[in-house]
Amino acid sequence: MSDSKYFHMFKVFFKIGLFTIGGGLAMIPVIRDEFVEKQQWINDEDITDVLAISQSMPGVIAINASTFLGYRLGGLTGAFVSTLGVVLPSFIIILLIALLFTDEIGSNHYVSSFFSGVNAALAALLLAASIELGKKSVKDYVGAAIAVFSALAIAVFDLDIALVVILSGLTGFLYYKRKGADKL
Amino acid sequence: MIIYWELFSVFFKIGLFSFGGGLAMIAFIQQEIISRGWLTPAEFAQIATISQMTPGPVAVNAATFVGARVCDSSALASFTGSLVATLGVSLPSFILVLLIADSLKRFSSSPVVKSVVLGIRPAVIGFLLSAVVVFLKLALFPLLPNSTFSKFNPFGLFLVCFLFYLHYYRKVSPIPLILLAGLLGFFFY
Repeated sequence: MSDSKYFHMFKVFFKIGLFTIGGGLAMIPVIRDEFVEKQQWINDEDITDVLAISQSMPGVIAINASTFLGYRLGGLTGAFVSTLGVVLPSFIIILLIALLFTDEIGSNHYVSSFFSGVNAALAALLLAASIELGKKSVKDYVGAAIAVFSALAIAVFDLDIALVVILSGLTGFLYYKRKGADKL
Repeated sequence: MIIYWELFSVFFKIGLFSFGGGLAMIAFIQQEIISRGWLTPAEFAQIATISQMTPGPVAVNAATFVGARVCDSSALASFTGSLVATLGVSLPSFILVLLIADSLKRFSSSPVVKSVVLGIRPAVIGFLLSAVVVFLKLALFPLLPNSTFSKFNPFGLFLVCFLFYLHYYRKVSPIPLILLAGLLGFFFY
């Protein structure tokens, strides 16, 4: 694989990082359009693999996807340039915002009113997301119990989220494995 | 030096243990950052907002932003903070994906992986709900200039219900929703 192909992969992932708002799953259609339709570097089956990764692996979905596709296309170097490409626009844009806007938000009444309104939007968005995801993720009473336990563990008892992840993964292993994962 | 190492390790942990991407990671980052007292809930809410409205992966945006805010003694400190936080949140994904890339089919269809993931997914709903509580509190009891919570604000309750209706039933997408919410807050809070 030539240097120019690595550079091209970098450019494409940089563009994906620069133009998709919302990140993660919002990037999948853009990735598909770019790599399956335009470049024809990969096929729809690879996109299915990306979805499998984003559902069964921890971490940032966009990085999971770019590392995986970069590796498929150009080995370790491909994985590196693709991941760098997808991260760099975020890094530059956010660092500039953070350095340029350093005012305390509470100090100005109108700015803080604006953000109080935004907080209402964040609450509404997160609630909608938990309902939508809940329909897919909570399949039975054990699932519902895990959801309630983890909400209480974080909001009320202030437990470490990593611990809750490990405990719920373990519960899943003990309960669903025995039920037979084929039926899942 | 120590703060950079802590930032790196906290974000590495977030990258390693968070499932579901996007908003689910915001919930995770919020819990880690606020429980350490690195930022106030209001400061974090600002970061969460901007991270969703700017291009790129939400978790990377948030990591970069938190890194810059936690280390804000100079521009160089902000840059270094952003760099270690972003590196921390990205590295687990990068390493884990490379480890399983060759055996993805075996990995994602393994009964062990499937059953573990089935257990973790409902927990993510719990994390999202606990983040709802934080933002709901900020919307219903908006912070006063001295960073204490105000009395119950009925407009806040109306606004949350109205925005939920628009997003969930009328399918208004997040960015217009956030802008509308900010404008309504600007005029009526």
